[in-house]
Amino acid sequence: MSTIKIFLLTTFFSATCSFGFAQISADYTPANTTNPDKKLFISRIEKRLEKDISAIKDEKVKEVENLFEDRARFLIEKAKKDEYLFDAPTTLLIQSVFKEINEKNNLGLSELDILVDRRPDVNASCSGEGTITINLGLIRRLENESQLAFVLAHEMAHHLKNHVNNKIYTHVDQFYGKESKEKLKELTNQKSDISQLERTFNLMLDLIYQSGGYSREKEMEADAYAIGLLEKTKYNLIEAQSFLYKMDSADYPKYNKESSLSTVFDFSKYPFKSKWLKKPVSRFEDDRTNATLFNTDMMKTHPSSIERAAVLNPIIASAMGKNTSGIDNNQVKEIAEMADFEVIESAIFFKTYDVALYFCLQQLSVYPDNRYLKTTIMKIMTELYWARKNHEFGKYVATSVMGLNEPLNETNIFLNNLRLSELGQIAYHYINNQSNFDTESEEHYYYAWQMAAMLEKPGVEKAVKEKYFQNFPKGKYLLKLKSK
Amino acid sequence: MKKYLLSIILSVFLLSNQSFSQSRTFDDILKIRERNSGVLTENGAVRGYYSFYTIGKSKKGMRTYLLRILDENLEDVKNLTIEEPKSVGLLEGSYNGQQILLKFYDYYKREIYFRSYDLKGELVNEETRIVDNAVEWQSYGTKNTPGFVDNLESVSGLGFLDYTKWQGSRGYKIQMIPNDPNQKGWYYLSERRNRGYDDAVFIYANNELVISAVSRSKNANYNNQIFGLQALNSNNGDQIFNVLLEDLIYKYQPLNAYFDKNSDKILIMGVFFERREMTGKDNGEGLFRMELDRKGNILNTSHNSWKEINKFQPVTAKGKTEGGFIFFHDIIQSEDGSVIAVGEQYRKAADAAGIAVNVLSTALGGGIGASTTKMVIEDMIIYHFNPDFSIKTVKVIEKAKSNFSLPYGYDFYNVHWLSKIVKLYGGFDYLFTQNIEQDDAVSIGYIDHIKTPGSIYKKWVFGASTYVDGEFFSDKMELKTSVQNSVSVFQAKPGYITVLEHNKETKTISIRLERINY
Repeated sequence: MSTIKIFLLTTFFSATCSFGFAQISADYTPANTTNPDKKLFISRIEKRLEKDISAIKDEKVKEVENLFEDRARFLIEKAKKDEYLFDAPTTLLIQSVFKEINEKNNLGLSELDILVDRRPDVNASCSGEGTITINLGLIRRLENESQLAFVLAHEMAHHLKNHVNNKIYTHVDQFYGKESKEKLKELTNQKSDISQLERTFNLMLDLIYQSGGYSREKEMEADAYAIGLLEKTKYNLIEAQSFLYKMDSADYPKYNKESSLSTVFDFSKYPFKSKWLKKPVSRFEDDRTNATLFNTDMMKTHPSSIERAAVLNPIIASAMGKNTSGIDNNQVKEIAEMADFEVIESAIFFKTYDVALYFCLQQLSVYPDNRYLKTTIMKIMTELYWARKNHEFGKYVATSVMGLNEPLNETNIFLNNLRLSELGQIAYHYINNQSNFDTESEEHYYYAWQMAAMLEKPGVEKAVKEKYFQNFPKGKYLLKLKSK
Repeated sequence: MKKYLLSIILSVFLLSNQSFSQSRTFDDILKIRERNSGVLTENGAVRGYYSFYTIGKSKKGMRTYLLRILDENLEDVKNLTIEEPKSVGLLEGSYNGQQILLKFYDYYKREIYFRSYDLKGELVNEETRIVDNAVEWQSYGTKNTPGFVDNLESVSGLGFLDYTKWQGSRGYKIQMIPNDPNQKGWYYLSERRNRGYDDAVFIYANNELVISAVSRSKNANYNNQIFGLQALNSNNGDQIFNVLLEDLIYKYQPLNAYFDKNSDKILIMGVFFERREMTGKDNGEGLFRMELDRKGNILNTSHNSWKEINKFQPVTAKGKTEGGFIFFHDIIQSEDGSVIAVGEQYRKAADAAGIAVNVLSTALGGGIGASTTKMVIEDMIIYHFNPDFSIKTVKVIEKAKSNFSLPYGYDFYNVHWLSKIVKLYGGFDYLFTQNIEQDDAVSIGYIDHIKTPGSIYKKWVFGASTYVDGEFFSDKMELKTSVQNSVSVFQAKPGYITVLEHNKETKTISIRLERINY
């Protein structure tokens, strides 16, 4: 990214900076998700696409071009749907880390777009055309700036080594190449006991596995190259390893490993029922590794984090004893805290309300008095009641999240197990609970009014409405409440 | 036709999720064609789905098929490719808690073969038999028709039962396909007869007994049947008893049965007739409940006459629902011991469209005509009985009339027999009865077609009536949400429906499960 671009972004964010970190234990204000230069970003992708296409030297120009276009379309679609987060402190920190790596290594990278993807999974990616993304799910797992530097350096290594574009060329060669065509022709004409289809599948499996192996090799290469880039910077190399070890436990919850559903949704007038957590018995085996025609494990492109960390041992050992005193890790801790809250907003954005509730409960175990968390739980439960009533619940909550971590799985089971009336009662009692309801929050009045109306409690509905008019004469829900 | 629709729509969805669709390279090589799709049920409850596609040609006359098995959440359990002759189709599937049994047929070889898979999708057992019975063969339809066959039943812990005809259609055959490949299965053949027709319908099975409702009719129009209850030993097929269900005054047609392990009694429920009544023409005298011991001795019988039941029938906007006929879809016992019978009204009427086609056909010099008769499907009626079988309430679910045009040549059949044709083709509005164990609830699903004033289109509404905590809750869902977006509903795992949305604008089909509200 050019210096001018960084300056403009910095200025914009400084001006519109959210106040997300103020008293995060008491409340949270969601970050800005609107891309300040969405149009510019899209035009940069388009320009890079043109450049990439004009540089194609392969004989299968059309096939490569198609893949380049698909990639650009994918990134543009994500930008249009606001799937990237533009939170000032996070963007600024990432840019400063990028600057350190770029300048200390004299890389001269000026056209890179480094974005935060709102996805909750622990991941980062390099698209190969000039965009690097770091997921919110990864940011919330960061412990220090050196770890962030390693993630960024790893993706920059992929970019510098042109791994992604090379993979596209290899893919095209493998799938559309002369050799494959000849093999396929041979298979079609072959007379043997195994069917043509089976033979074709075998060929396909070969290609896929080969391509998987290729990726694994490139991951290791990117790790080593990233360490090389970091050597010249202020960052602590040992953190690359500690981060890789941490990645290995990414499937586990960050905070509370036990679900708190039975305490959060237990009310004196409406006690929690253990049957709400009863696992539905699937008649089929849980192990689905062979469910598809391909062995999914063989298709994993990344080697295990532990394997990667072990490979880095000798490289890191040679760089020990480096002075890393100039790093301020507080900023990373702050953005990780922000990401902890922001994944809730993202889960709502992606219409995965079970995931949103799970993250709320995780955060609630750390910040039991946070108003944002309570408000969001009210929102989730109220909207889910409405969705269930209108037979649209399945659009917000998956029927099963088999294979994910236990508290998330339990949250999903809980929401699916509830009958409509139970969902309504739980939402109603959660809102009408002294420890949750904040008389200064107009959202709380709004959700209380909505639930009372949906559950046909005219007395409560009227009382809440009157109180709202009295407390918030210029409130944002005034029109909605007046219209009914 | 709903059965057809499910098959087609399910296949579209399943196809869209093909594992190998990751590669566009092979799209022009592999022609994928759906043959049969359906649900895997266990005692009437949906436990999964299967689909069978042709995905490629191999050696001469052979095809490669993709067999896809999904669980109750529409997630993959197993995808496997098998090579079979091109004349092979998949008739139906069943699930018994331990294994999945699929019944295939080879149209040219006239062979039926069964394949059982364990819950990991591994092949466990295979069995083949020649079909030497024309009636059975005809019932499987042609090679391209998804068979309207519903003969496969499950016995938990033991295996599967296949009910078919034998000796023309004069007798029946019950075959046990065991779970254990080392065990030999058994089959039971009804008595060989020169006159009349015997038939058997599966009622209930456990690891001791296989209970079937058997009927005997003097002629093929089934106007006048006598009924019995037959119990076979689940382990060897030996007959334990075959008891005639009649006494000095009445004859009894069983519709459902249970074996109560606690009381060691068999409980059956159904419709009773006066002995002189024609079971194929009359509505019977009412509903009965009967208790038998495991030797087939009738211990006691409770009757509830229509006259008594009708006293509880509410007066609807259309007046009192009397007259016409009632097709009983199911009778089940809820967790609190009360009994719920689910019926749907129907009658025979002249079909103006069919008459017009015939007039036109005659005017043009003859040719293929159409049936001049249609079946009119009306309200759903739910009869609710106390545990002692005294009537508790009758619930009428009003719905718009829907017509079912009969196939050509069916004009002169009696109305009861025609109702079976309607049922076979999925022409009733009734969709399912589900036992939702988790909430001790019973849910009845149906479709209603509401004519909106000023619109030429009928609005489709899915409705459910759920009995839980001692009361009935109703749930409704409008299916056609806009011109561009149509919605269909099918039975899913207990407590759920499958909602399929087709957006014509974006050309997308999405499928999801939704809870039935109560």
